[in-house]
This record gives sequence, structure tokens and C-alpha cells, in this order.
Amino acid sequence: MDPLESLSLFFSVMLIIVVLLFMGSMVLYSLPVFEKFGIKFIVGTEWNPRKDIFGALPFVWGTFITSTIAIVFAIVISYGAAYFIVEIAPPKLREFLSSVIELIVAIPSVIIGLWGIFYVVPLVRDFLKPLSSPLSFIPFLSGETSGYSLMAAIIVLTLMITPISTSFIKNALESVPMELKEAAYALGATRYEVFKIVSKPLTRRAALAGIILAYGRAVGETMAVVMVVGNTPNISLSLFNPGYTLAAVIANEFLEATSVLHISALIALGVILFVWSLVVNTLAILIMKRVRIG
Amino acid sequence: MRPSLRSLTDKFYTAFAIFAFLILIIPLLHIILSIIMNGIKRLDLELITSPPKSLLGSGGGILHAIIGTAMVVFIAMLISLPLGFFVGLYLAEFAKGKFAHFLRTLISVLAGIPSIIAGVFAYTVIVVVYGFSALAGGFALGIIAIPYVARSTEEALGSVPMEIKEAGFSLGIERWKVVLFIDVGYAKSRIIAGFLLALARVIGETAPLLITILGGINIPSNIFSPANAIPLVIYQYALSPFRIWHNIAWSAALLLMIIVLVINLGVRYYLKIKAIY
Repeated sequence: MDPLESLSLFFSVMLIIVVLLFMGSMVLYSLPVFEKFGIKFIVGTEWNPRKDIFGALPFVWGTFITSTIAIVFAIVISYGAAYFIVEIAPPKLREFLSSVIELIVAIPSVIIGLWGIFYVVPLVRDFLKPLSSPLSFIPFLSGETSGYSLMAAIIVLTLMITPISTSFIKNALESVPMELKEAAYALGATRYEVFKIVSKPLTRRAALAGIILAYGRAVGETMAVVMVVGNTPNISLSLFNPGYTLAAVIANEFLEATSVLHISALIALGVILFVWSLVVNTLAILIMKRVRIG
Repeated sequence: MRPSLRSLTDKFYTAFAIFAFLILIIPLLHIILSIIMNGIKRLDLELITSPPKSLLGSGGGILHAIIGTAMVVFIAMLISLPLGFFVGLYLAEFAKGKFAHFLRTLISVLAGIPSIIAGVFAYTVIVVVYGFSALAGGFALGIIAIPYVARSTEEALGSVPMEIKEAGFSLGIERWKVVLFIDVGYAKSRIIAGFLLALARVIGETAPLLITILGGINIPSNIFSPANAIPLVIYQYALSPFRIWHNIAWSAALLLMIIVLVINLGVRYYLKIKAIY
């Protein structure tokens, strides 16, 4: 065998071993809590480290509600923004606009969190809450708020993931063959009709892959969320209440955890998060494999 | 002539697209402007040359965090560059069939894992043995960087034209020499660009460091001692109730953003120059 092939194969096998070790050690460390609580660990609603009671549901709920609402916002905004960049903005600006959006993805999330504390939290408290108070009979908008809330987390998450899905949808829209669009224009279709009839159906898969990847990012995002979400393990419908997510509680309690069971519970939350993002990413990979346009 | 419903619909969606684009771009501009405005005040020499001072005095810097970040990122690169490079090289030049497919899937999986999980992993294998340390943080960031390095190396080597390889083979040069000296030589600038982007990616990572390096105020004396890092200082100071510390957090954020943007823009510019000839 070629010496370089052996060497690079060696490193590849090493990577596989590292990943196996990765999964193995996380499962091993999470065993104590699963042994003690069983399925109750996942469906339990109480999280009280002092009494050694660990239920993950508040964090699963917080992760679910923030990432789901954020991805809904992101889908709407990124379709609009991608349509703007590809179809409306002057072609000369197109490159520039997309690189601005791509650079935003490079901003470290702790910086987004810093901005969130000083601008988004006050915005929720002093503007969104008073604005929506006539609607506070709706469970999602009820209650008082300090600003640190699920709502604030949803806003920063939307901001962080929208550039990702926008960039995918934009690239897909750009790859639609000109002849197809021109054929529709020749039949008298308007710009929006061309998008609706030609571009959108053709790019559905690529857009979906980008959206799922963006969703995966929202599920695992830690810093920006932990800084604005309020870090309170409750299950409430109101978005103005503080909440907690899987990633946020791991980040927050790991250093304070002293009991074996507490550390095990936090690592078990990591296992839940791991599986969650694994499923999401596998889905994105499967869809992306079948993306063929033009 | 009255505008038809169809053209009104078209106008409505145009307006909506402009609105959506503004919704996306305005907060982003606001983030950048607020970091510059709030950060410029304390972005001075003292910030980068002196360790933190006690709360009572103003001033003080983040030298401890700068040194910590340098250590952590250096360790991360030490782990991820060889591993990522050779895995990428294996995929581009040698891997075939099911094993190649498996390896690529593994890399995609690794790339999709939330960064905090890499911190948990580092905790279970490094912190429990050596304690909270720069080494543990570097290990976590190294794990995060591997898929980026592997992918960019594979892409860079995949871009080498077949004729150039064949020219090498036709001279009877051995395979490993062709790959190492001709292919890698040809793709050198793109490979290095990939390294730099991976570095820019991990330098701002905070979550895994939060649970691995402890983040005190001391300058780490070696890789086994607890350390702090620039992004971690931003987090700690942002949560503090003190105005002086908030200002330092903003300035550290500006510093970090400058580093990340300079690397990103630099790589883009550098590759464009290289692409000309």
C-alpha cells in the first residue's frame, strides 16, 4: 500500500475512534441518571438539583418552543429576503448583499448574546410587552415580563439562523435555469408568478435542506440563548415568561454541579440534545443528497 | 387602466420581499454599529496589555483572556490540523465506496453537533483527569474544528485538475509524491484558507469553554492550569452588574469581531488574488 495512503487511513481510523469514544463516554456518564429515573428523566417536570430530582421536560419544552417559532419566522423572512436578493435587487449588488449576509453567520454567538442583553431584552420589556398587552388574553402573550424571556431568545435565534436559510434559498433560486424563467415570462407571467410556478417548486428540496440545517443550529445554540432566556426551568405557554433550554442549562449548571447524579443528569441532557440534532442533521443530509436542479 | 389583481399581487410580494430583507439586515447592521459604538471607548492599549484590575479602579484589561485564547486556539489547531488534513486528503485521493461514504457522513455528523456537546465530551475525557484547564478547552475546540478542516482540505484537493496529476504520473513519480508535492502544492493556498477559516470559526466559540477552562482572572502558566478566553470574558462581564465591566465586554466583543472579520475577509481577498492566475 502507498505510504501516504496508510498514513491518511491511520488518521481516518483515529477520527472514527474519537467519535466512538465521544458517544461512548457520553452514554456512560449519563447512565446513572437513566438508571435511577428511567423514562421519568425525560418526561419529568421537576428539576431540583438540591433534592437530587431531575426531570428534563422543562428544557425539552424550552428548546422546542424557541427553535420551532424561530424557524417559522426564519422561513418567512428568508424566502422574502432571498426573493429580494435574486429577483429584485440590482444584479451588481447581489454578490455584495449575499456576502454581507454570509459574514453575519461568522459573528460569534456570544456577541449576539451581548447585544441581546442590552437591546433585545429592553425591547421585549418596554416595547413588545406594552404593544401586545391588549392581546394578553392569548396564552402565548399573557403575563408580566422582565424582558429575559422565551420571546427574547426567539428573537436572537431568528436573527442567527435566518442568514443560513436565506443563503441556501438564494443559491437555489440562482441556480434555476434562465430559459425556464424566460419561458414563463414569455407567457405573460409576472415576476411573482414566475417565482411561484417555476422557481419555488424547482428549489423546494434545496430550500428544505437549508431550513432544516438552520433549525438544527437553533436547537443547539447556547450562548445567545443562555444570555437572554431568563434561565428558569418552567413549562409555560407565555412567551413573555422566562424559560430554559437544554444547551443553556448545561452551560449554566456544569461548573456548579458537585453531586455525581447532577453531573450525570447534565450529561444526559447533552445526550438528548445530541440525538435531537443528529436526527435533524441526518434529515438535512438525506434531503441534500437528492437535490438536483436544472 | 386599472391595475389588475395579478399585478397588485406581484406588487404586494415585491413590497413583502423588501420588508423581509430589511427585517433581516437592519438588526444585523444594528449589531455591528452598536458593537463599534460601545466598544470603541475602551479599545485601547491598556485593554490588550494589562490584566484585569480590581473593581474599584477603572481601567484594566483582558491580557489574561488574550493569552488564554491564544493557548486554547493553538491546542485546538494542534489537534485539528493534522487530523482534519489527513482525513480530507484520504477522502480526496484514496477513499472509495462505502468506507468513503461512511467517513463523509461521520464528518457531517460531527459538523452538526452543537458546540456545547463538544465541551461535555472534553469534560468527560480531559477535565475528569486533568481538571479544568486550557488543555480541555483546546481539546473541545479541536473536535469542533476537525470537520471544517477535513471538508476544506478535501474540496481544495478535489479542485486539482486531472492533467496536472497525470503529468506527474506520466513521469513515473510514485503516488504519494504526486499527491504530496503536486496536488497539495497546487491546492496549497486553498488548504491554508481552510485552516484559517476553521481558526476563525473556533476563536469565538464560548459554550464549550464555559464548562472546560473555568475562566478566572489569572494568566495561565501552562496548559494544565485553568484559563480564560476573550469570548468567555465577554460573557462573564456582560452578566455582571458593573458598568465598567460592561464597557470591557463591548470592547472585547469589538476586538473579537475585528479578528474574525479580518480573517474572513482576508481569506476571501487572498483567494481572489490567487484565482487570477
